[in-house]
Amino acid sequence: MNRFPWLWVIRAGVGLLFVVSGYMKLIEPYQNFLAVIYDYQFVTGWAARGMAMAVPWAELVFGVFLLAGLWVRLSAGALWILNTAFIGVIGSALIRKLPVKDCGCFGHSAVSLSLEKALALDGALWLIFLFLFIIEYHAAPQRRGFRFLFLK
Amino acid sequence: MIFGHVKKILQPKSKVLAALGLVFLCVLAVAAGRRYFSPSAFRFTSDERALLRSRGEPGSPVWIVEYMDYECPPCRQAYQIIEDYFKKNRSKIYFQVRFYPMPAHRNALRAAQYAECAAREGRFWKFHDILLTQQKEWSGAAQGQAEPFFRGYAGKLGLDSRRFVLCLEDPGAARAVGEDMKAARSVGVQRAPTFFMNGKMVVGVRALEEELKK
Repeated sequence: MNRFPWLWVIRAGVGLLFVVSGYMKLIEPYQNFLAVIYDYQFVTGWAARGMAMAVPWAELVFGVFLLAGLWVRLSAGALWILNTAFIGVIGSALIRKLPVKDCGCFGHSAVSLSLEKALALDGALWLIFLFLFIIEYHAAPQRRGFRFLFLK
Repeated sequence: MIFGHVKKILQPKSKVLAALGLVFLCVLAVAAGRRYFSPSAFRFTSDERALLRSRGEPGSPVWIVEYMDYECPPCRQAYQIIEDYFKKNRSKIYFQVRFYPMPAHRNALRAAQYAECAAREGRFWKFHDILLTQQKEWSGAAQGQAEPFFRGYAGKLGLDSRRFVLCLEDPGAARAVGEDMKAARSVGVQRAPTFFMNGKMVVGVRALEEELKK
């Protein structure tokens, strides 16, 4: 019996959030997200360009996988890593008092989040990922280590 | 029993196929989204209005179009960078300014209207210089309260003729700025400063510096 029948709702919600976030960035020229990355002043040059192209695709693809229930642990793990990186970058911007008005989380869409709100959202997501992983880990005691990521 | 074995063999592969299928759908969705929401490719135009806000030789190998907002601090930084670059490479660059006042900046639209009217009087570049070098003076004013500053700068440049004043009151100037903004959004401009350097989009000061180093 599934002890947490509503788990898929949480998983789907998180997946949808990343799908929207990635998609909104991808339908704009990548240079707009590149400018957001430069605003945070932590990478420049080819690293910044690579991130501007790769991060939205990672959000979209892993978000879709999570939504579809495909390779759930791998997708959730990848998005959790991204989420942790976002927390680090936004936190660093707040500590350094950088003049970033909009986090750029959803491209330049109607959804505009200040750094504080973005950090709160990312923090909540981080806890949700932790919860999902704890539930999944205890649900599959026979699959530990590296195999844990790939066998669902 | 055979079906069970086949199913066991195919299952990992079916997941790979499903993943590939989903990735393909993502690519299609993004392509469709870009086509529908996004832009046309940038095309350089040099109509009569744009010529008033251009400098350099039209036949130059490098042409730079800037969508800018007079109240944005990065636009002021970009102005210094472009000025230095233009001085060193005057014969190689054709530079054009277009307006993109952002909604968050209370006086940016009015500043652009003043600049548009200055352009119609043939004084665009001097007024452009004053607005940016004196940005800190007027940008902190509440909406509508920067007008005395703009009139002061216009007065210094001899831009207080009846024609200039009529231009400011004419909705045509506001409409012209609005057309620039609409054209900007149609090519994917979302913030200022955004440059098109020989058609290549460059957003922000840091990207501009990297591009000019090449």
